[in-house]
Amino acid sequence: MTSSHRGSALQSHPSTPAIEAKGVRKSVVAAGRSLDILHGIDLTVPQGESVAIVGRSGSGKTTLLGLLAGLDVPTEGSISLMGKALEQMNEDERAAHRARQVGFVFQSFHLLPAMTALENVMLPLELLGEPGALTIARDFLSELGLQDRLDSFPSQLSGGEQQRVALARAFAARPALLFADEPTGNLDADTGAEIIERLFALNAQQGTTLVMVTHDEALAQRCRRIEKMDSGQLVSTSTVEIEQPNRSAGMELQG
Amino acid sequence: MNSQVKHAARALWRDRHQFSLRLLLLALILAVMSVTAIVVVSAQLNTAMQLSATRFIGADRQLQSPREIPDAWLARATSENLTVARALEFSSMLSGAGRFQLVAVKAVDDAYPLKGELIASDAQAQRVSLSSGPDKGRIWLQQRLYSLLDIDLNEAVTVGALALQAERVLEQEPDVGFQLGGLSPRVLMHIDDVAATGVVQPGSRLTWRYYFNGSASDLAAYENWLQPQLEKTQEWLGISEGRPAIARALSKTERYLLLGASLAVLLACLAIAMAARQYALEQADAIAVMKTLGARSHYLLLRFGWQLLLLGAGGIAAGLLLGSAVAAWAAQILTNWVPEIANVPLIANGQVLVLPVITSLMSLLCFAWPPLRQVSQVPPMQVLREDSIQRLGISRLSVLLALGGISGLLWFYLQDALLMALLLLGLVLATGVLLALLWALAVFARSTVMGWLPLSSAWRHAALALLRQRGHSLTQGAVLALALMLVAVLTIARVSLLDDWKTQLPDAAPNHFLINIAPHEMEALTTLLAEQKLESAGIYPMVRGRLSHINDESVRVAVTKDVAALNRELNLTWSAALPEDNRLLSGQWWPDTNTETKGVSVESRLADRLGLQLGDRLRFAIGGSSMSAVVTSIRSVQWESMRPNFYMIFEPGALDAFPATYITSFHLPDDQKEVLNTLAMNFPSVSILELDQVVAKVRQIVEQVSAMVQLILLLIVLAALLVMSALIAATYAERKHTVALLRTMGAKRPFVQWSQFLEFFILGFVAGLSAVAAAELSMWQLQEQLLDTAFTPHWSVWWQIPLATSLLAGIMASVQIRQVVKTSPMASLR
Repeated sequence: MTSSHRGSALQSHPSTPAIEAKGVRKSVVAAGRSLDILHGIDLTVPQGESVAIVGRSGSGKTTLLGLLAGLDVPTEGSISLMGKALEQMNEDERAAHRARQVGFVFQSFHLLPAMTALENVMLPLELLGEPGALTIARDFLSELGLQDRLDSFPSQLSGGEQQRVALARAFAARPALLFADEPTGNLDADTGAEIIERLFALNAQQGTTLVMVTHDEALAQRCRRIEKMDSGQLVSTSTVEIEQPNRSAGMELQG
Repeated sequence: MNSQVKHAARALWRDRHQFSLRLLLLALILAVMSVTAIVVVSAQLNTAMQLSATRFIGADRQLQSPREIPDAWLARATSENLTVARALEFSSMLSGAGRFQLVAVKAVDDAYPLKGELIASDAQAQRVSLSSGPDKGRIWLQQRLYSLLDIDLNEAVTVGALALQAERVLEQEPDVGFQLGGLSPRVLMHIDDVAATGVVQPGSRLTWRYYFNGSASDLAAYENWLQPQLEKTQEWLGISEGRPAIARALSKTERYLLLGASLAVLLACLAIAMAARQYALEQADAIAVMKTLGARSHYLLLRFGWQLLLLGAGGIAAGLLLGSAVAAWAAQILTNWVPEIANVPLIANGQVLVLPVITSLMSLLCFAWPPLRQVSQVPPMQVLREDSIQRLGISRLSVLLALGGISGLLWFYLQDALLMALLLLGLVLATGVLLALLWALAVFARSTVMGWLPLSSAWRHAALALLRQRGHSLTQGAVLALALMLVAVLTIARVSLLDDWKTQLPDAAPNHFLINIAPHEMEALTTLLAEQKLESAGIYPMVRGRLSHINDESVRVAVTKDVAALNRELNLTWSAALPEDNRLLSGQWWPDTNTETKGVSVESRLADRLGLQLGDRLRFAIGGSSMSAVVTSIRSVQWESMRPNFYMIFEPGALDAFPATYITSFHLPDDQKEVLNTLAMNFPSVSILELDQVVAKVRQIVEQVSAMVQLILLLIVLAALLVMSALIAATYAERKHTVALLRTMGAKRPFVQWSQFLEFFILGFVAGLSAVAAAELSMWQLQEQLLDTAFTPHWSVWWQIPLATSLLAGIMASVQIRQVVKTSPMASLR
């Protein structure tokens, strides 16, 4: 793997929290009345930590993830990502910030159907203007065992392969932060377990801060910290002392 | 930039199976193709018509003079690089085999004609097109003269003091219009023989014709030099003096074609807008992903920009090619009509292609770009949501751009604010009628009738489905109604145009005129026509008179414009009844008054030009005296009808004080030509005007133009089908879900299929009905404005169009949605 460092984790002071959310509230207007989805969330994630956000369907996990990643803005409160306040940026500035700092892994992979595996991985690098995009992307895909599928389109790949491409895409730009939304949700148990192994391996290798939303208690246990959500609030925090490297990613829990 | 283009190209290529993208491309191709075809044909036709008009005056320009013109004028023409030919026309007695006949002589030099066809036949009755007239010592006579004089080809005839050999039968001269000039049978001889005839004496009534050919700039230079020197009696004829009947038919057709083209473009734009909207929706997920990965909006806009440009390039190239092919086909058809078209290159000037290119770029910018731009605003949060966006709101920008685009295009093509306003009003009307119909449907659905339908009825399901999504149905219905209205407008215009021509020129359209009939000859003449089973188009009295005053003010003062009708004597007539094909536009046909001043009915266009109103008092100079009449009505006249037509029709009795002759026209079949001789012998003072060739020509034109009109309609229908298809495609995703749910809940496949069919069947019917209503309302105003014909309701389209559209919509929906119904519910719901 090349060591071209695009991620700017090193640019921020290590003591700056990767994420700092204060008093975050989110409400939406539905059918003429305001509906609160998140009420006053405070969350600080130090650099290099891994946090799992667990909770039932509708508890607000995904909304929180979107806000933390700057995909949306809170109704109230503030969120800083690698020391930069998201609410002070417009959407394009947040996009630029994401390009530099953030990687994503989604439940439904979200590869671009019109691009090959290689091009999908190259995309975030190109958005950053990385001249070595092609080499980096190829190396990442090879490391994930996809050296023979570089030119395949997403529709020609299995679910596991697609998620591996997504992992390569997420880590290729060496983000300081990785957001994962139910990364095994659409995979069978074995494939899911394999993806999780790779995800955590890459995470450890790059020292990325990880925020993962999941239903899966077992998967959550792989993270250093577990935040439990209920009705739009963080109700409990637990710290996992020992990592359990060979644990299965658990059964599929779909909601 | 490079990778942007590459990605855009690849995205297009990957999406090539996507229905919305195909529709977008097809609509674009259709728009470019329609515009290309029309502008190419139109440009070619214009050039050809200019050439063709010159055929009718025998040269590029003609100078008509009662005297020989100074040699210096001819020398000047030669020095301006113009080719010159001369002809001298006069009347004379022609004798042969002891009989005499008054003939119209045209004596021509060797250069005549410079343009157009001189056709004559020889002893073998072979019609040949000749490049010059008879040699010295020879003469060509019209067929009728051979029987009138009872001579054969190659026998001698005498003009004045000179004997000439009757060499050929004169069939057609290029520069003989159907003015009332060509009364006597015509002969053609050499100009150098004229002196020897001794017929031309000082004081003889002569018409000298000088023909000029040359480049446009040389002609213009000569014209500038010559014009100031011309006397009043000398007339300079240019291309605008081409035959009015053909020119008018052409301009009607051209207007129809332009209307058709603009409607086709409008429809294509509608399809582009719908398809682009759908395509944009399909891109929403990918856009959200790219945004999540850090793509900024300008990156996305650039990328869509490239996609549209690439798509546009392909669509434009294909459209130009197809359009040119259609134009080539149309040109081939038109060659029969305007032979000069064969000499005009299909695309003489690359500039004609600018219009289609601009049109297509504009339609992409105004109709395809807004939804793509809009979808690039999709929030990145969308990636985390389970459901995709199903609909795009309509942004103010897209409405503004679309309205601007539609108005711009309409203005560009029609250049007619009133017409544009009427079309736009039609659109509003269509929506209004549609709203009313949907409301009626809703009332109906809530009524007890609905209760009679079994719960499981597919009809019931379809109607409810339409009503449940009222807003959506309304948008869909409005778009469909709009598309159909445009089709209906064109269908109605086509029906009117063709019917109009057919009724004006039935197979038995009059093709001969008899003028100068003395009152005492009327009875005998009528009897003769009846014996020969020839039906006359009515016999009208005729008094020649000049309009001298309007409201006691001399016309020279009252009318500032140069109106040709004021410079000559008019044919005045009287009639108790309104002539069959005239139509009263205002006023009354002989109000029952016994006032001293009689009434007169004026033709509408002349009334317009003279600024006449009902109640105006007109004074006419007839012979040495004068008479007055009050304008009591304005009426329209079908000049192409080949019946006697008059600018001024008086109340019976108004012209009793003046000597009148009579005029009539009738249809003479080809095989009864001999009747003309009988007529000529029995009524020597009656002049016979033969227009059969003109009528045949006009009829041929009508047939050929009909083919083009049909083609335009076909293009429009194709465009409307695209719109319909885009509409159905737009509901695809939603429908997939609904169908899957229905089937999961146990609905059988035929039921689902049938109810989907019915939903569109009902929508198609309602939209079709609204469209016809709006189209009729628009045409009511449009027809006179545009096609110069009277409006009558077109009852047949009231059932044809709704039926056709409901069936088409139903069938197309069934076909397009077939896949959805076939897919297992599991696959659709996942």
